[in-house]
Amino acid sequence: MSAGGSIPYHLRQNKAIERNLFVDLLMRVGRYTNISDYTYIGFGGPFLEDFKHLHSSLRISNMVSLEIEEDVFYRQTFNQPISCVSLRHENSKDFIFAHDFSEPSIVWLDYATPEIGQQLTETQRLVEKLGHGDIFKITVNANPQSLGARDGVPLHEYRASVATSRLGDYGPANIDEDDVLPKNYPGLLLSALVSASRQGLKGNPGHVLQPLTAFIYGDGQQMLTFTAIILKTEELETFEQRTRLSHWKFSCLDGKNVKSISVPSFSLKERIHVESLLPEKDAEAIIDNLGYLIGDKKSAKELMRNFVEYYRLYPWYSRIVV
Amino acid sequence: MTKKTASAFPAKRFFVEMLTRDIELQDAILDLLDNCVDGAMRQNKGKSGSKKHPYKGFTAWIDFDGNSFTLKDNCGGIPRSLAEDYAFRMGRQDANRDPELPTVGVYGIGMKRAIFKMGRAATVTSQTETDEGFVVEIDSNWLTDDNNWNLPIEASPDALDRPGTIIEVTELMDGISRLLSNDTDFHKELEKAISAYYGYIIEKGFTVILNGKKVAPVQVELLFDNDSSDKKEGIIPYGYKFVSDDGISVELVVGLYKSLPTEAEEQEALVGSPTTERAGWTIVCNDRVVLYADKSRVTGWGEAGVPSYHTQFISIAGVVIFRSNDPGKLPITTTKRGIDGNSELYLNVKEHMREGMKLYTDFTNKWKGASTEQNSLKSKTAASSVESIIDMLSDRNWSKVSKGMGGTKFKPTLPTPKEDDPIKQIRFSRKKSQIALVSEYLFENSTTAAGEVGAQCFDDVLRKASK
Repeated sequence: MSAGGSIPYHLRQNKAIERNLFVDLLMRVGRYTNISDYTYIGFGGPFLEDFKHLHSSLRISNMVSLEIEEDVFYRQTFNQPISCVSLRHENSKDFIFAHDFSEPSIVWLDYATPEIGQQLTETQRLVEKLGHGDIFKITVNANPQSLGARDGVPLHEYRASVATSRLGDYGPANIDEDDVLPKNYPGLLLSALVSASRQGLKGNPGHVLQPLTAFIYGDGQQMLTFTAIILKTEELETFEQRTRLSHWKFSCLDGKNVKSISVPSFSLKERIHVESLLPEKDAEAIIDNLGYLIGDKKSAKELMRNFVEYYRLYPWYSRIVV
Repeated sequence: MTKKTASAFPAKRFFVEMLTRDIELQDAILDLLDNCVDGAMRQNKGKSGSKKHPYKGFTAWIDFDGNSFTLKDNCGGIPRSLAEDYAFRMGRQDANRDPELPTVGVYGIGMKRAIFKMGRAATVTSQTETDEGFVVEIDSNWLTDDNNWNLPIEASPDALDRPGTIIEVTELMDGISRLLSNDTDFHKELEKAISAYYGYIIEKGFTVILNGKKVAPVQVELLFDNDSSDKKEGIIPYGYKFVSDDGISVELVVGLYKSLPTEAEEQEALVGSPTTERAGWTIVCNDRVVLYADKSRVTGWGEAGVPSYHTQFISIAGVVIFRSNDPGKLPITTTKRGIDGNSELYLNVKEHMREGMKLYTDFTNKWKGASTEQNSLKSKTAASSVESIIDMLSDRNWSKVSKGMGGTKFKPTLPTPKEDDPIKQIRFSRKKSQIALVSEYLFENSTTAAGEVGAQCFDDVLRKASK
């Protein structure tokens, strides 16, 4: 949907990592419930990459793809990698309104545009329709630049006022200038997403929202992605015992601490070299060893630290020429 | 013939189940906070404290989860005699507990109603400066026994380390437990409500700590054109003031709290995006906000010539401040979060609310669509708090109101689009893809609002045509 069209989907390294973590998460949730029986609903983009991945790794075979761009929709029909995806030329708002979610569902609303207000409303409406065991994942633009600027008004003051009005009922009572700084903005959005989801549960007594993961990553734009499951209150403990998610270092069960999963954009040679130093060396030692920074001064260390911590889980992405 | 009597003895169920239906959890908790503030006010009586921050040093700590609710304060505590005679009675006989204080408690029902709204068991611990501390326990057995209307007060000399009260409610009702466990985001709802309803009191020094976090105040601010040279023309709020013979004072201001909405903002509001609803009327009685951002007939929208609230009016806000040492004279309902619409005082004030509001709805209608000149309106104004607006207006030209209850009012002359060359609206429709294409060409992004794209096209041609 929109901005996603500009960067080839399969080359977005950090998004690919995030997708792998999603599959990892679903496998863990699979210890509690049979994930293969779920229906997956998402925005496939021209290549339907996620659909292929989820089908091959989790054997999910009921899938619905939503797409609003006419040309992308035609590309999907051409590219369709597996036959079990029902391709729909429809926007998520109308779909959520019409669909009854009677089957266990995994819904991923992967928004690329920055219209956060509408996306939060849609999140609430989605949760209103979900039931016990349903999993949903919301990806939103977490770049405070999307809040804009106005001549003559101090930047952060202006952005705080725009954020206050866009998040509305879902935002905290007070949004100050610190909240819209690039490092804090994802946290602000996460709290709004959690709020919208919880408000969606008002009419569903006996059910609770269990946050699962919250990541920020960027392949160009900083994105926030939040995943949660709806559970019957009495099932919370069993869910926790079976999935053992509190022992998984990527989980975010309190819905508060966003984890950054962006890693440096290595060349093949760099990656092989860095991996040869692991697990013994830490990020600082590796940067010393290389003698230069990968990425800008501000973020290079954090990116390397992410890699050191999670390198075993990161896939190899490289270009092949056919 | 023997004379028989009919039993008029009350049942506890009446209080516990019926009264609690009239109030929402949020309002019940605000009722408890009202008691804290009334307590602080009593502590201040006769002392010469800060006029600007009279509640400084007074704090209420609210903590809750799915199992219990606790409110602790340092606002003076409940005197022993009061506890014995009526703090725990269902309703107060004597309405004049504080004849010289602008409190809001009148009926003596708030604490009990709040406790029963939440749970079936409670402990109230309190201590004042002069009396020794005490503990009162209410349990679910007592609640079902209609013959026992007494609650034992247990002396507890060292109940608290300073004067104050702790109310702990347990055995929470099912629905309440769910709300307090934050499954539906009640925590934030309450925080927002405290920010708004206690904005004026927190600004005056009172502190509320909600689950460990200090609540920041939110107050209505209105735009004020400081440059207005003749002191009457410009974006200046409408004002009204009145003091009655029996000591009720009223201050009213209405104006714009933000610049007029753009087309995109109006569209967002129309499709139900979550905008912060600060538009509408806020009514404050003795520092307590009793009605917040109201947009209904209660505050004059949609009656006597004022249009009904509509998204184009999302910039209009007004505040009415009532003060009286006799809270019974204030136009509030028993829940203290609503207005008694039949009060003569309120009906009189409402006429001025409508007059000021009409001024601004007309203004909004006149400027609708006039985007270029609208921009020039924005740059000259600054947001100011209601109190400073009343100060700023004080040296301007107020006129006497002869009808109704009297008082004085300030009626600004709002800027109008130039009469000799009036603004006209152009309306036309084009395909979405074409608008996106032109938007990309003009603004290098395809998501600029259609109205702005159209206006830019016109302005570009206008520039060429005027050469």
